Formats: sequence, C-alpha cells, structure tokens
Amino acid sequence: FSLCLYLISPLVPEMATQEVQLNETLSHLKTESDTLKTKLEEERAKLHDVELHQVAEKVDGLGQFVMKTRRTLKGHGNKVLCMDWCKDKRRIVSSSQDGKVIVWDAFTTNKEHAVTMPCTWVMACAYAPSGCAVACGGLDNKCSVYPLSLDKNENLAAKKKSVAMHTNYLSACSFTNSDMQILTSSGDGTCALWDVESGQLLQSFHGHAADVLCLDLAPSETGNTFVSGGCDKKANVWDMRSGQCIQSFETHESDINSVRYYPSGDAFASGSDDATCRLYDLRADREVAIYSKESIIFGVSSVDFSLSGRLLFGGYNDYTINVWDVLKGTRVSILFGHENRVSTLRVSPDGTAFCSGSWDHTLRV
Amino acid sequence: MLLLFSFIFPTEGDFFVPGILLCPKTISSNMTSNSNLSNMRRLVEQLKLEASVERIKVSQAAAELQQYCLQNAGKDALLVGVPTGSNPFREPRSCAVV
Repeated sequence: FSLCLYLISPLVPEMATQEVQLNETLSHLKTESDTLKTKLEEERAKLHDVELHQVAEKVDGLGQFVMKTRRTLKGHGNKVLCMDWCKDKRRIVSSSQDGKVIVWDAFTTNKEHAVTMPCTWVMACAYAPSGCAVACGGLDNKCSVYPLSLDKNENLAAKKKSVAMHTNYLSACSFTNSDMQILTSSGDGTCALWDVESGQLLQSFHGHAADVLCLDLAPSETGNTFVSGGCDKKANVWDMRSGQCIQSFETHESDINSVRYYPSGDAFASGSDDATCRLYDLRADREVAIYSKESIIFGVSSVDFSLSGRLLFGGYNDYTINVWDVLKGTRVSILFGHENRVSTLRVSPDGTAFCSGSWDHTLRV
Repeated sequence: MLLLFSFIFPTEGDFFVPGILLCPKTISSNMTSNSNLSNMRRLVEQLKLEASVERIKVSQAAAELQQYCLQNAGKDALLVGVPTGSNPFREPRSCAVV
C-alpha cells in the first residue's frame, strides 16, 4: 500500500542525511582532538628547558650501598602478589596466589593473623591507617575488609565485610586517610571510591581504556588526588572529589604495573613492562626522568621511593631489585636474593626498611 | 491529513525500498555513531581541560624536587643508615619483659 511506503521510506533519506551530518561532526571532532593533542605536546615541550639530571649535576653522588636482607618471611604456599606496611612500622600484610592473606610482625617474623579468601590470586591488599583492619581482593572482583581482632581464636572470616564490587578483577586497593574509605582499581578499567561502613560507591573514575593495574594516593598534605596506571600505557591523575581526570601521561611503551607518589606529592614514579621506571612531575606536567639501562630487559612490577625521595627502588621480573638515584638517573645498587620475580615492594612508613614480596613464596625485609 | 504527509515528505524523497528493512540498520549505526560522537566529545572536553593546566618550567620543578631530597636526606635511614644500636632489624634481640 503506497501510503505505508510513503510513511516509512521518507525517514530513510532523513536518517541518511542525519548520518552524513553525524559523520561530519565526528570527523570535525576528531580533527579538533588531534589539534588539541598536538597543542598539549607543544605546551609541555615549551617548558622543557632542562633535564632533571642536569639540574642535579652539582649534587654529591651517592656512595656504595650495602643493603642486606634482614628478615625472610616464609609461610605463603604460593606466589606473593601484594603487601602493605602498617603505620606502626613493624606489621606487614601480604596476600598470595594461594588465597591466603597473612599479617606478620616483621621484627619477630611471627604470623599474627591469617585469613583464607574464597578466591585464589588475591592481587591487592592494604592495611588500614588505624592498624585495626586489612582490605584485600582479587579474582573475586570484590574488595573485602577484615577487622583484625586481638583474640587469636576468633574466626576472622566471619567478620568479613564486602565493600567494593567491580565487574572484573581487583588489581589494587588502598585506604584513604581514614579507615572509612577505600579506593580500588580494577581490570574493568575503572577506579572507585567506596564507603567502608555502608559499602556505597562514593565516586567512580572513568577514563582508562583498558585494565587499571595500580594506584597510589597523594601524601596527605597535598590534597585529594590519586594517580592510577593501566594497560593502556597511561598514568592518570584524578581529583577524588569531582571524579575528573586532571592530568594524563602517556610515554610508557607498555603496561604500567606500578605507580607511586614522590614523598613531597609533586611528582610520581611509574614502573612498566617496558623495563623502565619514569618520573613525572605534576607541576611541570611532563615526564622528567627515565630510569633504564640497556642491560635491563625485564619489566618492572613495583616501585617505591625512600623517605627523602632520593632513592627509587624497583622490583623487576628478572628476580632483582634495582636501586636508582632519583636525581641523577643512575643505578646505585642491585639487590639479589629472590628466587623468582619480585611482584611487590614497599618502603616502611618511617623509611628504615623496605619489604619485597616475590613469586618465590617469600617476603624479604 | 494531507498536511501531515507533506510534513513528513522531504523534497526529494523518492525511496521506495521497504523502509522497515532499512530502518533498523540505520538506527543502530546511528546509535553507534551517536555513542562515538559522545565519546569524541568527551575526549575533546578532556583534552581541553588538560591543555589548560597551569605548568611550571622543568628547571624549577627539578630544583624543587632536588631541594626536597636534600632537605630530607638526613632523615632517610635507607640513605644514610642508622646507628647500629637503634636498627630494629639488625639482629633478633631478646626483649626483656619488664
């Protein structure tokens, strides 16, 4: 019936013209975004007047370093994936592929608590600022908080509270300044801020194009930001209150496995599968140093700064830990000892020691 | 009724292909184009935001990083070491229970 045809078919050319219009806007936007990207690079390059190591030439070099393993924490049945220090500078929580989360006393090497998670590959764990709880998660797509009780006989698993829910594995988690909020990052490409008590999502952070592998909170004096790194080779700096990405850095050539803020909060370092660690300054809005050597070909799994920020420790997949002079860009020391790749590394809160966890089932302090 | 039809008819519409078959395809590609469009818009907005960030010179930033390092170097145990007596990790000490 011709009337019907007339009713429907005219919409087709309408849509065709609409689609043409859309394509035009799309290509228009694409050119705009490309111009903006070039402009961004130009602006950043304008201020690139000198390299960090040039500025640091007048600083004394560091002498030979002797760092010994003082403690070896054995007890995990499988690869150690993540660890965190307690603010009391002696307790450590670590998580492993065997599904266990263990709290150790680093001075005595005693195990204080052990929790078995219902999933294997517990990829993230964090100690609460108060020292009274630990958070962990992994392939279960959730972040759970376990309050630590002094009663050894109490079953910790019974008190577990599920806080975060993602649609893919949990790659990293961290408490904010209080026990009440947790920041998580996930393989689903997002980061999220949760309220521990209610389990409510307070803020979500979208912007990564692939799995987010790591995150670090800015040191408390410098405000409410955090940095995250992901498989899209980007490191993004976010404002926690607005959920906005305020700065983005894309100079790595492969997945970023670890990010850590410089102690002053003005810069952060990242470690990646491209075997380099890089330092990005937030106020200059660019990469200011690369820590790499031709002889190093294995990816960096974890990075952390010493207390003053002069030393950068990197845990590598070739079983070693390289210590870099942050200012001069040179390697100061290599530490051997682990029998498999180093998966996690953290300096203690007072800077007297650092702990590394490895796929060889042990942690070394 | 005539008015209604004249409203729908475009000036050079002479497609007589059954619109029902064509429409769903155009609708879905329309929607993906729409989502691409909104993605692109978001990207452009994000880039504008990032381009407008206030920046300082690398020399200044580097100088401040260096200053922070040197100021705190004395407190950095991993850098300067601690006196043997006070290193909690030095050797397993036996604690005297008071």
